[in-house]
Amino acid sequence: MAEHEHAQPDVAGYVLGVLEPDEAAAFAAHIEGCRACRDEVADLAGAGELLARAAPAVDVPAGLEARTFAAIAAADYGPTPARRRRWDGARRLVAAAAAVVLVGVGITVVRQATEPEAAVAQVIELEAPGGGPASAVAHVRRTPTGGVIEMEVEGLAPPPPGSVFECWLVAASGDSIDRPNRVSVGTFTVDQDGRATVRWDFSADTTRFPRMGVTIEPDDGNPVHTSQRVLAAKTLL
Amino acid sequence: MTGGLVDCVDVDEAPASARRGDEADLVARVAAGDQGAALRQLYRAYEGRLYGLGLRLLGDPSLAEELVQETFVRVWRKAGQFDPDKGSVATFVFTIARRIAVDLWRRPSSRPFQPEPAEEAAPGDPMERVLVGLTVRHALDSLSPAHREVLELSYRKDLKQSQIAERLGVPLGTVKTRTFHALRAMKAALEEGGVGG
Ligand SMILES: [Zn+2]
Repeated sequence: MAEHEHAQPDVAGYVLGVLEPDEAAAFAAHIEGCRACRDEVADLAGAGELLARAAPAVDVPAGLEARTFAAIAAADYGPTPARRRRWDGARRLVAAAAAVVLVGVGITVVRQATEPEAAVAQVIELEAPGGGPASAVAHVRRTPTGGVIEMEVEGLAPPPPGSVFECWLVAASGDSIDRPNRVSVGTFTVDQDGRATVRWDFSADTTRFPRMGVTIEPDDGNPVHTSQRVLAAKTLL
Repeated sequence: MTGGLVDCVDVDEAPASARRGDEADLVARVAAGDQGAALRQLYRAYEGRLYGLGLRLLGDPSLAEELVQETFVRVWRKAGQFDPDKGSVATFVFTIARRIAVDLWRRPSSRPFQPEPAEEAAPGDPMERVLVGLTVRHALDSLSPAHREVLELSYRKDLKQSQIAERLGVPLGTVKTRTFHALRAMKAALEEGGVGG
């Protein structure tokens, strides 16, 4: 068969193994004598093999984009001074946009015109990580030395005898059993209906410890994290 | 001729290098303070791959979601450190994601059944394998619907081209040329995603 000036479309069918058996045999013989088609087979072979490794299509949960941009807006509260100045102009616009977006996912950023920084209350929703009726809503306000957390808990089964619930602010990274990287905010228990209302001052930098969670801990006065999470914030502080 | 238009207007074959440059440009705009359109465009390019990575490495939808969120909080914070001479945006994003995946895996309450992800990239490590599969899926998703469809029917290996033509209701010749253009577009998209083709 004559040489082609340009590679023929059957190159793709050949590489993918979808030619009829007689076509495939004829094309294999053809590329022996046709450089253009042979080079194209070599060029496309890798893509043909990779195709077979395609992961199944993934369904991303609804609202993940909005929640991620809420986390980014929340993380925008306490950057370094240089960064803060740089973002200040854009932030007013973002805050207005964020307030609209965030209502839908359960966080509301309330910004009062008179006290632009200190009056910002971030509302963090917490839920049981493994599913279940337990939930909480925390209002977090920053102060110059840290902040205040007010949290209302409901649907949380009372802790086993000798243990309490402990609220933590957890580092964005590097928190493990061997090397915990979290700070305790305070401990609490719930009433018979599984409810609690608590208020703590904290001094942790929430840009370093942006994740909030509640665990069950032995009531032995040892401020070391040992146990299972019962509540976790849906978004970053 | 059915499908002829699709084959002539082959928008998927824009040079991969140009599109790679576009992503680097987005990161530069984020670093310069564009927290809106540029960050959102970048996010949409990576959301599916990051979420899929989280599901496969951590085996848990809520951890996968955390992986997406924390990766992008950090992409936003670190955008100024991105150096296009040192690697692609994909490498930048997935290097960040790898560290966060390790942290999430090690978190005491996570208790995943999956093996622990390695902290450093190495050929053949589980995360690299997962990433290749996700990158191929992402490249497929970036093709025109007609191109994606003909490739999806082809790589399953249970149909020959004449049966694919029948399935799509187009002439065999159209299937042949469409498959050819689709595979070329796929190769370009794979190169853009950082896996050889
Ligand atoms: Zn030829």
